[in-house]
Amino acid sequence: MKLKILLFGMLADRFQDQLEMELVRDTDSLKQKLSELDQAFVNLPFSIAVNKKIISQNQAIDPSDEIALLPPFAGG
Amino acid sequence: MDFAHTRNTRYLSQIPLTEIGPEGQIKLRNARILVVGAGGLGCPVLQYLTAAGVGIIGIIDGDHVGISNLNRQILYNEQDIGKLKVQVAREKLISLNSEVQIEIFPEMLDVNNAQAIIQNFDIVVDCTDNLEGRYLIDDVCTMLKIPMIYGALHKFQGQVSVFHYPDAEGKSYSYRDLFPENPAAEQIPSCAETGVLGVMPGIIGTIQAAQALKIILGFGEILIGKLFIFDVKHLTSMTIEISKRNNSARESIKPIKNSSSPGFEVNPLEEFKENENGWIFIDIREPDEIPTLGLSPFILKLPAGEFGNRISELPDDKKHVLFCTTGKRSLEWVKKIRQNPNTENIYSLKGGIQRNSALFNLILSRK
Repeated sequence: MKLKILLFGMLADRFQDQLEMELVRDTDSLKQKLSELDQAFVNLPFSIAVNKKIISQNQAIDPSDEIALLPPFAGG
Repeated sequence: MDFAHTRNTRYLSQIPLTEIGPEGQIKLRNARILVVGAGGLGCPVLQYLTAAGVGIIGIIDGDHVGISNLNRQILYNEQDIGKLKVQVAREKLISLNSEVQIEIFPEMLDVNNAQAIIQNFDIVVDCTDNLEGRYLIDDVCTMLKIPMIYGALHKFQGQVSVFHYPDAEGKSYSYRDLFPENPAAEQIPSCAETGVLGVMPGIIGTIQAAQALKIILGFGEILIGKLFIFDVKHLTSMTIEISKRNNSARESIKPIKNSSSPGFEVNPLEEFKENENGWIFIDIREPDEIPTLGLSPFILKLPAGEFGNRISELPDDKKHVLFCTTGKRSLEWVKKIRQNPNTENIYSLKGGIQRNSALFNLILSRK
């Protein structure tokens, strides 16, 4: 089973709208894995939502959870 | 003109709504809303708030109308190019609804003017096009407890949320709960224009205007603690819950990123008019970046990577103004270059191509 990650904004430009990854234990390890995957995850700021709720601290990830990565939007 | 009569018939299509009624129309007339930014988002917000009869509408924007604005900034037309956006906007809005009082501020919101301007309004609609502006509005609205209706765009996607407006339990959220300040944001090559589909600000701005009207009238769903995301390419939407973060509240306004390094940045429109031959404008963007500029004897195309090698070729008797799309990347370069001797005549164009349309119209008219 793979973890499903939705990407928005500049992250979706860089990759696709969606990314699949090996399962991780929690959001901190997710951040770590992403930073190993591509420098964009280090250079771009983004908030993480687990099941449509933005996390404010490290949180466990269940394989069935839907993850979304939300970089800020600048345009107006 | 008989305003009472106008009022009775002008709002004939909204007063029958039980959520509005004659009382609601009075609430709208007594409301004061500030729109920060009269660009893509600002245009539809201003038009719908004016049409609905909001009593006092403030507009702050220091920019001039440029031709590249016209694909989405629907208040302006070709005859307005080069004019101050706030002045054109006021004329158009007054011709739409002369009962509405339009107050204009022909300047950019910054740490020096933000509090004095924002405190005169009941609601702020964030229609800016940069993160610094959003954090600044967030700070001032936190301090003054004024609702902030946030909207932002990226290509085919848009976001809306409402900050600093309490829910039934008295809980409110801030932009920093959604996106905490992150030094990595400065590393984004933000000068590269991402582009936006013209209808996107129309859709998102209209949703922002609806949020403002519902707050004034006191009905319906307000996006408190919720981020609404709309994607026009896939025609999908998603609402995401925001969590409160511990360190998001601010007690006083602090300049977050003091990018206005004194002496490094210029907006030389007037000085250029006085002495055109004293200036050289250096486009440090990569050749494939948009907007593409035409040729002018005052513009030198020298991508940032090559600049260092050719710095000695520049004439000493002129002021050199480095520019990019937004002015961020050029400022970073000027900060680096100025560490070397004899570089006092090298500046960064504050606000870049985006904020200097009058200057570029003039420069590009010279062949």
